[in-house]
Amino acid sequence: MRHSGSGAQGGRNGPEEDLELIRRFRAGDYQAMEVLVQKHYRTVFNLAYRLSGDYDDAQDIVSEAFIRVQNALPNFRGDANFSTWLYRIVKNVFLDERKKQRVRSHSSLEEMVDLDDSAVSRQVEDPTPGPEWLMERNEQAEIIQRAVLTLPKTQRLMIGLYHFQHRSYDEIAEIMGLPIGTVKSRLNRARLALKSKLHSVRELLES
Amino acid sequence: MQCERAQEFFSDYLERTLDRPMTVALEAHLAGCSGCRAEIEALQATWASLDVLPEVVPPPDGAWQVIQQLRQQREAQEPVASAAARTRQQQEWRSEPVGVWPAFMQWLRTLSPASAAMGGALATLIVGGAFIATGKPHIQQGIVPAIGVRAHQAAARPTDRPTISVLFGSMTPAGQEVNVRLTPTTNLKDALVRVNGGGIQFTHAVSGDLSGARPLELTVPVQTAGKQSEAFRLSLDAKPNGYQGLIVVPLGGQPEQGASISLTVVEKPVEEVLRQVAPRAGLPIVVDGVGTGTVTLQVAEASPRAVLAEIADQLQMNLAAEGGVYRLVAR
Repeated sequence: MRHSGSGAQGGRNGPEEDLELIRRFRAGDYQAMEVLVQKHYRTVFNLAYRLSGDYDDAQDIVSEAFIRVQNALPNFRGDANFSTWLYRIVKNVFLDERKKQRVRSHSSLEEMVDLDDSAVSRQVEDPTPGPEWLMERNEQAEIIQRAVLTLPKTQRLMIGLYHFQHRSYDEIAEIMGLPIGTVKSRLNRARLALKSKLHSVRELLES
Repeated sequence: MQCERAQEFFSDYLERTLDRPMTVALEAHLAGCSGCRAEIEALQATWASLDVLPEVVPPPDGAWQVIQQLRQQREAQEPVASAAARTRQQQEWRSEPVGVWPAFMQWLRTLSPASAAMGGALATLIVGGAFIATGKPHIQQGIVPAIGVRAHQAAARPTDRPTISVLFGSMTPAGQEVNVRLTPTTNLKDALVRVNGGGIQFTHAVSGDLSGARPLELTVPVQTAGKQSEAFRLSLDAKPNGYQGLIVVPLGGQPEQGASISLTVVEKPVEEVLRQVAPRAGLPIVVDGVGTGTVTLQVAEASPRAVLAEIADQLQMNLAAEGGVYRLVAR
């Protein structure tokens, strides 16, 4: 279960390639920035989606993060892994983000628990429109996603970084700017909170 | 050990990072507490679920949209006088690019001198709706090239250079030639339109290994003689390479929230109907085989997928969704 770190992207030459692209960007090669975007976009989007639960919000988070990256890249010292630095920016964008005014209907998990089986299946269906196959097909995944969205933002971030991005505790501590002990205890609490919400729904679905 | 205290160690215990004395104490507690045993089992199941949550497929043009915003930010911050200097710098760039960009970069350099020399009054280009590529792109390894058009509205400064970006999908074989023809709409038919310093049509050879997963983007600087455009329709003809089909690609960003379609058409060519559907569908629509035939539709507040399923049925085709595109395939 332990994650050794380095996240879900980059591969063997990930960090070295990132540094080379940063060097080129600083030398005036703007295409290098675009290659950086292409390289990291998918994983950043995945995290942003899991944190926000919304396709459009996720794209906004990703866009704002890369804009901040482009602005701050001249000051990137290279003493941290670029990926870690990038996700620190993503964290800041997510924590800074104000709730947008969107008309959406959400079913709370507590409502799900009280409903009978047929009503649960109706409630699980996400009314938020979007291309169908780009939304969660797996009903279980949908429930988990909704449960994650009920967590406070910081817990949500750490769950996302550990379980969706497969970051190590050390990396998460660096990204969050927290002591590693604090990260571990908050993650434990977040998992327990999720477990409580999901346990009741799982029992209902399995019965 | 109290239950509340025991729960603090659950994660470390499951990860086997708890020290030996604490492990012994926790296991002793679990042996005598059915509640905590159930809790830790549920935690283990939750953990396993979190670790296998499926990856979300981002919008196919999402990265491109980010790149466009980055460019706009740079241009907004850049003094006008240095724009030409930047163009020259891009031409002189000699570093080895990463991944699948070699052919694109080579092509971009050929654009820069002509476009940098353009002057005079520049119109604002707005491309709206969907455009149609009645081309013959090659399908390789089941990947369908997605071709789209993006344009941004030029800023008010008269020296800004408007561009139309043509986004090509990858997986075209080496050496394929691509013809790009720019078709102005009615209010521009008497306007002078230049592309890359030449006429409204140009040909470019796309070479090199373009089999990576990234889309290839060609930016086409366009100048008009001071007229305001409404829309530009791009027709794309590729050299025949064994594939005939129709690709309709929506412009702009994500479909609107609650995107649905209300449409009434009687015996209209399918490409005309798809041009209306594509912006609401938000994804490219590919019609395999000969993309001709007419369609009759009367739908109200139907989902894009339901509308496409009806169109597929009328053409006696099947509708599939894969790789971020809708596909109508022959039965």
